[in-house]
Amino acid sequence: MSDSIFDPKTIFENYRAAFAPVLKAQQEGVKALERVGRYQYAVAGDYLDWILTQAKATVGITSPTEFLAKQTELASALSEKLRARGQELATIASETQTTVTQLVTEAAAQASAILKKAA
Amino acid sequence: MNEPIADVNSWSEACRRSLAPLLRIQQDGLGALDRFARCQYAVAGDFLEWSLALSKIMVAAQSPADFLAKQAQIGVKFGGQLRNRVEELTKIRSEQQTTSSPALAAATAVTAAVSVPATAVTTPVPVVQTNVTQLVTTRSHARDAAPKNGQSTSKDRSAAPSRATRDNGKPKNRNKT
Repeated sequence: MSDSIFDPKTIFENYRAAFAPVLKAQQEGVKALERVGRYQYAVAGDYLDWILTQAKATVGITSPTEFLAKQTELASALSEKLRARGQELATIASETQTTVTQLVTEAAAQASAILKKAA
Repeated sequence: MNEPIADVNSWSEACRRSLAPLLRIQQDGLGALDRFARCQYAVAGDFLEWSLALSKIMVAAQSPADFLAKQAQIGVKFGGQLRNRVEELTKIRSEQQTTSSPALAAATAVTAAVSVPATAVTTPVPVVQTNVTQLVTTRSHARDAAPKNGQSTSKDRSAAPSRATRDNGKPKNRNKT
């Protein structure tokens, strides 16, 4: 009769192996969250730049015509930046979707392999 | 005879010259606001980095000891960053104070240079007493004009003097009679 030995390391490793897809998904989720967070921070920076430049333009104007010209220039620059940010967000979304699809496919293949092995 | 011409440009230029110290102060204040806002933005970025690093550690930790060690390391690093930011804010404040002092002095000098005629200050302002009440010494006819059934209209009540003034300031106690 063989006595079973209580080995926490083995249990821990088994848990890690069983939850590997979940951990991978979590890691990918954190990566996507990081990208979105940095993206939002960059958008906030763009707005901050716009506001500060506009305030400087308001203080430093010499005529209403110049003020309007500067405001138009600033608005066009901001809209250009925001368009680029929109494209960046679309890229992030598509890449995240690709990663999630890949993860789900891998997890499904792994689960089916385990089931086949068990059968 | 010379006719005055409405010259908008010269009027605007005169306004700009007279408000030059104020504009200078505004520009200096805006510069300080710019630096302050960028510093706040950097602080927000530090917080973002800290929270992202913390979440990465939570996911990738191999053991509780490893997690705690890395968390302490990130906490120490973040504390150092915050200390630097506070020093930067203090520096911005002191520099702004140094920059704004000459502008304020210039504004004060301009204010002192503006000559105000002495008569505009020393002319006594006529005092108008608005809280003086005039005592009514004659009996009003409003009481006699009241309706006989004892119901006076609101117009009569507003026209008639109060009981205190009607009786020369000596209210009578009607309960004793």
